Amino acid sequence: MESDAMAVKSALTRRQAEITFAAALIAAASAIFIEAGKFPPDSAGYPRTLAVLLGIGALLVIVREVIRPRESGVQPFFEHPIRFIVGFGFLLVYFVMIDLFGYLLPSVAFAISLPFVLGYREWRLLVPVVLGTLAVILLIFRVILERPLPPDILNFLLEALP
Amino acid sequence: MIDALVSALPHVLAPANLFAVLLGTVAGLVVGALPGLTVTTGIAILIPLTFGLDPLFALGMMAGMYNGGSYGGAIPAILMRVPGTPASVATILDGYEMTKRGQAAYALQVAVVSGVIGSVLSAISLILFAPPLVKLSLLFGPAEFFWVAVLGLATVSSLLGEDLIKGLIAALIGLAIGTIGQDISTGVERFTFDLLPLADGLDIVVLLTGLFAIPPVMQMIEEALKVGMSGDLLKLRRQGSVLSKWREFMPIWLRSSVIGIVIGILPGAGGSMSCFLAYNDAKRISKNPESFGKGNPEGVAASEAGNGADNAASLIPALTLGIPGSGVAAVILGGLLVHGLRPGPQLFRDHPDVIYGFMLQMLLSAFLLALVGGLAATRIFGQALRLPRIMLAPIIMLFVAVGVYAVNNSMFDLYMLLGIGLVAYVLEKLDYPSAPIVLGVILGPLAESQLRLALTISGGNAVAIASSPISMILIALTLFVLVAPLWRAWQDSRKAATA
Repeated sequence: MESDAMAVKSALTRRQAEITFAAALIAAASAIFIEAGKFPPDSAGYPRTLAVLLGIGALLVIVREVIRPRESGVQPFFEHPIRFIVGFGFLLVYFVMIDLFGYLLPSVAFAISLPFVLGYREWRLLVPVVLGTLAVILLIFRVILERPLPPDILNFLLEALP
Repeated sequence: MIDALVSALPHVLAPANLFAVLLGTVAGLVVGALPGLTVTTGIAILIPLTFGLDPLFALGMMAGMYNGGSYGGAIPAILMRVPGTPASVATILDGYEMTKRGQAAYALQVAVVSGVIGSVLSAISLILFAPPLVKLSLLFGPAEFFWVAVLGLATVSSLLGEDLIKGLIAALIGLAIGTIGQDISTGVERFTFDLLPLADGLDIVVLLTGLFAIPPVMQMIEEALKVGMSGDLLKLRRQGSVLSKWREFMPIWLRSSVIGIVIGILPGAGGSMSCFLAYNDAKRISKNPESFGKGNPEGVAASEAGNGADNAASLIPALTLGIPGSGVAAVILGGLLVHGLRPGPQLFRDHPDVIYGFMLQMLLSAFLLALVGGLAATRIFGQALRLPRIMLAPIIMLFVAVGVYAVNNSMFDLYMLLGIGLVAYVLEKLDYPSAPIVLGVILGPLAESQLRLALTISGGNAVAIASSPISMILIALTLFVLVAPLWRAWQDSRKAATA
């Protein structure tokens, strides 16, 4: 059921995506040009030149897409847009959770729930692989390399490691 | 040079560094074998994980990853007709046909032996050619280095992508990102928006990981494949020895390796181009060209030797001039910078143990490939291919998140990673090449600072920066590189119009 729902094709075509992204580049180039105006001339000249060239390049892409035969750009941009949104949403939530609770629990939740939401149900493989991977990461980062992990609500457990 | 190599050898043979090369080669084999993951991705994931470690340990892992990943792509190409990496596409043509005939184990053996020979010859060419080239670069002043930077940008942007405009836009995006942070000439902070983490510019580790590790993860999520490779495909039995037929294969190994080395040295080429050229050459000189594409082991040998030979050779312009010969070399260049190693004469003068050690590690990893690429090892490490790709996506993110965080102990870096990754995914879907972005970030500040220095030396005379013979040659090469694709496109359109 979830898989079927996530298999919806994108309404955004390749041509529309090309033009939208090029327009975004022009907007970014304009912002760079304006922001560079706040710098002294010696520091402003180079980024302003880049901004102009970037704007011209993006404009060429738009012109090329507009004059290109219409049938060549009708394929959907995203094969599975809902999966893309779910994936990006999970990554965002994962990082926010790391910020709030540390690395361990959000990592377990993320690595198990994402495949589950995308329709994967082989728990006997999924859970050991995720826990094993985390154990390897802890061994390498915390024990061998003594590198820092984000502040964790399970810090008392981490401190018990050798 | 010999002294430097002898001096570096004990460091390379230190147990920890040997282990690093072995680990990198195994990891590369797995990464290369997993469809959707490339060597570039593997090295991008590796860079934050090895940040802060001894440079030779980190570079040893990268060397192993490069050679291991290069061969790893042949495993699914031969067993499943799926190229593990773009460079293993030509291997499919005969490799999969051999599998259909029940010769999978023999095809794998041909691939690994050919890959080892190509990689070894390539590493030898790196050791032989890089030091003389770096001596030549000692003749360069600020003006010449400015033009080298411009040439590097022009070559990569025009050759890495199919589309010249998109290649140039990607390079411009990189150049723009390179302006973030303090302007070293005036002390002014540019585009930092009063954010302290941006004061020194965008962290190269975050950028590399975002550009090369996040897009394949997003692709895996979008595809959501729930099955891995069948375990039956890994039940391999020995089917004769390639080495007993070395006389038949030797001309192909040598010719393909030379092709791979030449293509590898050319900035911006490499990868799939070298294996296809080697394959076509082998087919051209064969007594039975019609057997190519129908399960001829010589096709596999040519493709894999050309592929392996491309690796170390692509580092020759990267280590000496800062111009990478391939996308992977561009990322390795970033990896060197992360460890405070700037390519060029200073690198060879100030860190000879590291740089000559790295070149020896490329050679060592090529030999190790024979060990970890054998049938028994392929059966063991190939088990990773059985994992469903939908499971691999979050597993990769666990490594990426902890690695990127640990570089600066900063959550800001993780959020930046996500932003860059999102843009990188869109760029990839729209066929904008990512390597020129890295080059822009690396070469942009160099070009700007060297241009200013050259102008100061010449008293503001812009003509003077283009007047030395070396500058003129570099300008001519840059123009050639930019005009050649346009000329080719014009010729193609004329041919199409007359046909």
